[in-house]
Amino acid sequence: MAELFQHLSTGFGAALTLSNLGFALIGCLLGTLIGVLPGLGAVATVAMLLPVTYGLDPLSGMIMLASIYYGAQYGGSTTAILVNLPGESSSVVTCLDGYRMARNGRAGAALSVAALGSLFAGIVGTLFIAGLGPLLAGVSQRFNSPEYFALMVFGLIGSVVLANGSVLKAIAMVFLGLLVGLVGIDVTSGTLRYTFGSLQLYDGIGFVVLALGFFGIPEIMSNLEKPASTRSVMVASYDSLMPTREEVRRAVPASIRGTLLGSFLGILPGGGGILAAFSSYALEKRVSKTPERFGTGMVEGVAGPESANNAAAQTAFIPMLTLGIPSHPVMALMMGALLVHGMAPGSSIMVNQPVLFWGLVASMFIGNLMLVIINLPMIGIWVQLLKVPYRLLFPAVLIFCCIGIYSVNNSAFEVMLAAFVATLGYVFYKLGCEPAPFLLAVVLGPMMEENLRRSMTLSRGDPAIFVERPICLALLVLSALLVALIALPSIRKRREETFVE
Amino acid sequence: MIRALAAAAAALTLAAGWATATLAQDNYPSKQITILVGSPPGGPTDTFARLVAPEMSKRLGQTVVVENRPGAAGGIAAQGTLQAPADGYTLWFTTTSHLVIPTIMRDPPPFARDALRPVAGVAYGPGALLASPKAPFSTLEEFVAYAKAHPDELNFGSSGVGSNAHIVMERIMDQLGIKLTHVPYNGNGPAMAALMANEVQVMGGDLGSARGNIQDGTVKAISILALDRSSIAPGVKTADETGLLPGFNPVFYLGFVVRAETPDPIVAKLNGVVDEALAEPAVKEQIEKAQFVVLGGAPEEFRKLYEDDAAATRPILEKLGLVGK
Repeated sequence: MAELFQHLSTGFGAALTLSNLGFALIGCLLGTLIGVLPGLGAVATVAMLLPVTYGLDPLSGMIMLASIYYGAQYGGSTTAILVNLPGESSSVVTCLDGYRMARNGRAGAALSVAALGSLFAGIVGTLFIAGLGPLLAGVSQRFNSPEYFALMVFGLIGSVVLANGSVLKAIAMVFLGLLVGLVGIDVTSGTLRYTFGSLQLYDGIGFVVLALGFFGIPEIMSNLEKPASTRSVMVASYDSLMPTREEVRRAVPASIRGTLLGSFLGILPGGGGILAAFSSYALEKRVSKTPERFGTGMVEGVAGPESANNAAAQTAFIPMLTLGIPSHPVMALMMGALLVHGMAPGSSIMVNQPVLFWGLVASMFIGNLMLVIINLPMIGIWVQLLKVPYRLLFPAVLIFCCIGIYSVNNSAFEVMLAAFVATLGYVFYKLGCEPAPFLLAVVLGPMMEENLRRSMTLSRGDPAIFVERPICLALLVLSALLVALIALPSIRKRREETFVE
Repeated sequence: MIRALAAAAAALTLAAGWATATLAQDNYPSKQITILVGSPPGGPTDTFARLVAPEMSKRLGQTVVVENRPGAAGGIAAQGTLQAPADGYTLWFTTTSHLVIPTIMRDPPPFARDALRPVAGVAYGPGALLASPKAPFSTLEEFVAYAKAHPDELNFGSSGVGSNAHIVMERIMDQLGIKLTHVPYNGNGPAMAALMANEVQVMGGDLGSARGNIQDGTVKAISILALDRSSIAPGVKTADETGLLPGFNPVFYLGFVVRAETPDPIVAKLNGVVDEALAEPAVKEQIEKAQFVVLGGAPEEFRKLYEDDAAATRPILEKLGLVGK
């Protein structure tokens, strides 16, 4: 413990210099900005700034890149809440209740809860890195292909619980998502599937295309079909920007649960952030006394997932810093930057480059605090944005969506694909088919298939591999219990009542 | 009369065309040059392109921008290069796995290698045969003996079917007469994680990106797949040295290509500029820090490198039934 404090003081010593504070501030501002602009991702920004950091001291460079990354996670929730546009995959969940809160006139409260929940989660996540980094890295190594498969099964079944309306439609959307997830090169055999001879589809359909096409754009279309007089995005009156006492009482435990869940799921390379947000939402719905009100603007549905995704964003650094495995494209870029400086990420970095490692950890505390200081006063301004007439707001939002989609891969094809997906999204919206289970299936489906087939290759075709391993078996048993819960008639009855209402 | 007029017109057009062409070549470059990279930001391909671009820009007096066009194992960037005019303003910074393997593996191929011509090789990276720290062997000899004594027990990882790591391992197995089960992963990161966790026991990788893991012992290098030993693991013999794989040197290389119709003077100019950029001490040092070796040299030297590679790769892919997928 004493050792930890000594390390942290080394770190703060390195991170609290004026220039490093400046780089953290620049990173946080840039990150918030790109997070707020829908679709403009941290990956593109970090890539553009990467060459700039080559000339900097490695620690300063890392601090700036890292603060862009978590700043973007932070900013992404703003558009999700205000205009139903998820910028990052993990903000999809925030759309569900955050946007409803905004429509109920609680936009300020939703944004404050998201910001404070993220701060708490960011700090806890960073403590995890500082105290338990190497230990947690060991845990993530116990997660091999069979465990990943079981985790994905669990996640997919959980996604049905996410839906508010008909279970049948939710399951149908999950299956559709699985099919769309098949598009592209099959990892196991190298065969092309559903690409129709188009090179553009070799790597599947991008997540940003689907997220904006299914969430944001159909929302705009359905707003536009209403007469102009009733088209205002929000209710006319804005209550206080701060959450009420009652909201705080409900948000705090949700935030703590989300943080713990996110801190753990974040260390698993691949899909940690989105799984964390989804599982936290499902958990909140399960423990709530009024699960039927989720999707109508429940503060727990914002606090939990927002904390979970921010905690996961922090602990995602663990596999990179301790094992040299990037768990997010931004991490891959940061590893590239370290390699150019002649440093190789891995467990040796803590020993050989203590100032870099602990300086980065210390800067995460500072950066998370900075983000709240930057963002809390901004909430008032963001909410004002909703007073902009819709005829001016929606073209601006659409333009940012297009820029965002294009900037992911510099691909005009993806912008056109998004237009097609949005048309489909509008049809689903009209049919009452919810996009959240679909999107989760697109993300988790390919990973599930890949890990299933890989496990079977590793066991030379013996399915016993899934029951011989304790973690895997436990996850599969949990999945079976979840199915039973969904199928239980009493629950089904309650669901139908909600749907009728 | 009409025929004469037509002939004159044709001659004039030709002359005019020739004149503008020469003019274009003399003025080259008169506008921004774009380098297409077929992989997302990060990783050696993107990093090296961004390292060389400013030096080229300095010497050409025009902006040189790097544009990432990831997708289809380089196919999107190849398409972008081939759809642009053959005027030397669009270059493709490519690699083994983007330039050679897809053109053999896919039917129809995403692009024809002949539709491109080399400008210059930039760097190559030595490979290494990596093993899980828990694997019961630490040298190439021990590995071969173990694999022969325990058939169908070992797995090898790769970053995908038809990836460089996959092909290298298939070549090794082919030459050594051993059989391991191929377990492909979605990218290099997950494959390395699986190697550390002993889910797969061996993997062919490039030495540069595995350096940190080799140094802290989370994976072990059992053989260097190049003709010279490496400073990262000085005690590890090269595959050639062991006598088991004489002359085995499956390097991973990076370099510039342009459309085949690009005029010679433009290619020569670009080649010269790349050579100068690579001679710049700062550039050379950064490339060497990443454990790569600077290439440079005439365009045809780069062509020989990738055509030799294609000749070695094709029979392996054919044997695996991966041609025309």
